[in-house]
Amino acid sequence: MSSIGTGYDLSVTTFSPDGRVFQIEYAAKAVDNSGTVVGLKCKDGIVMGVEKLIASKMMLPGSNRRIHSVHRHTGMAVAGLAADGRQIVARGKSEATNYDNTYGELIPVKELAERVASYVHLCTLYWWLRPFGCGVILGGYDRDGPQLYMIEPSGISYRYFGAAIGKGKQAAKTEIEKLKLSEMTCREGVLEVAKIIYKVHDEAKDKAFELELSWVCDESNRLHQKVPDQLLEEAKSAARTALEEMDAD
Amino acid sequence: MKLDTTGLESALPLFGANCQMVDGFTAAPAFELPTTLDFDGFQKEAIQMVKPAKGTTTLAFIFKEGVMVAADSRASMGGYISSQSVKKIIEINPYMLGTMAGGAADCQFWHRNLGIKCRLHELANKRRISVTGASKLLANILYSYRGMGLSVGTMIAGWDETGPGLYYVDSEGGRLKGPRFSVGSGSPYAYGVLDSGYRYDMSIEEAAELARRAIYHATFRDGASGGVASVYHVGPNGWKKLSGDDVGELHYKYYPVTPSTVEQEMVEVSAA
Repeated sequence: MSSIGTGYDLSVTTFSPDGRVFQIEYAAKAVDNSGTVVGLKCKDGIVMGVEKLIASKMMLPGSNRRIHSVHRHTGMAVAGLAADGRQIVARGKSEATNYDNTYGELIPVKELAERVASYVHLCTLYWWLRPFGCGVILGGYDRDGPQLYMIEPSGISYRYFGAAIGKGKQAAKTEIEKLKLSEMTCREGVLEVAKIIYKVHDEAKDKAFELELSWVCDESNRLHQKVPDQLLEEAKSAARTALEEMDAD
Repeated sequence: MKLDTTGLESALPLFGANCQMVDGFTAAPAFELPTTLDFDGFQKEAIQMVKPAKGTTTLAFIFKEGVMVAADSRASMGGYISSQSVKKIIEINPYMLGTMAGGAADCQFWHRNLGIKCRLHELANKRRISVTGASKLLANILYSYRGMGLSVGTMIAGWDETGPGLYYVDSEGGRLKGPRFSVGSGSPYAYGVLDSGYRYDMSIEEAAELARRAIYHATFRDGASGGVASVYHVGPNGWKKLSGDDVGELHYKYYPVTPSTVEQEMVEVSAA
């Protein structure tokens, strides 16, 4: 467990004597408490999946989407406080449209990630704003190929070929490292993401969850969209069988 | 008028902030609107003053080997030819050209401004700006000054990652992508020659000759075009000036003087 920063953790504009800003670290903890989000960069595109923990049985399946399309060619998967996430997605959409209106072409994914990250960082600089309590995995396909970025509540953004945030991120990262992503197509990637999410889901602590998958790849014409229903069902059943095989050992 | 940015504002109400952080990227450069009683009439007067001035012929077309850009070099103020040696092809940067038609100062200033923006984009993004992006930047600026009397009819030609690019941008705020354009008072004549002689797979020499001929014919019939026909080529390594021929001399090249048969010859009569 990390140390409690007595006295130095009251405001995001206060550093502790050992050079940490505790409020940002606490914001990261909010992300760690949410359902797992996994992103993979395959050789022909990006796949993103979310373990959407269902709070109440009366919720309509398919509601409360955690993956959003920011523009035709990019999507964001959000982990952490859902309302904060919606704000970040709105800002991303606004940045993407603004770039399109200024330059007449789709925003490069790198540029979008930098703009969103600097917006998240902005909210860690003022005492009258609290940091965003959510992390974002941003995946897109532009003229430089498919790219995957992860933006943390501190405002840093790095480029990844495989990323995971949320409850099961450690376990998910171990699983991702086992995969050979440079040779995997997105079709296979979808199955792998489903398997990882089913695997890291903790049956004991959280009961039901809904799997949300999206991709942007050559097969989807470089558009960010939900994975087609048939492939989604295929992925779910593949994941369940993989889980049973593991349990059988 | 200013660009309508209401659709671009993000949904967040920054507590206490007076939206300075948000405004930075949505605002296009613009000066304050003039305080006058008759805003529409004031603008009309400015436009009428400048309207006849697009006395020029410029053309550009995309072909297999890149983009060919050509223009005349006459500047006219009504019926007075003020200069026969105006540079109407403006070098925005080593791989992009802009043509001048309309107000000379407007074209020169805004092309230079565009060159600055392109360089800043290159420095910030570590890659060259595309022709699409550059033309949209210029079009947005011109649109924000729409109705205020700017007179610009330009073509942005360049070679970027996606190959050759050609856009027509004007001071009404229009921006068109196309394979062939001609702008100016001599453009109908130039279009006639250009459209009839155009093929996609021409060599650079053939394309240059077509461009030169089109400009010559426009200067022949249009009084506001003349001077020197300059031809530039934009290829994968940037632009290169190919030729600059005086249209008077081009006339005799295309229609050389042939000695005509004489019906009656005058003979010297000795003084008697």
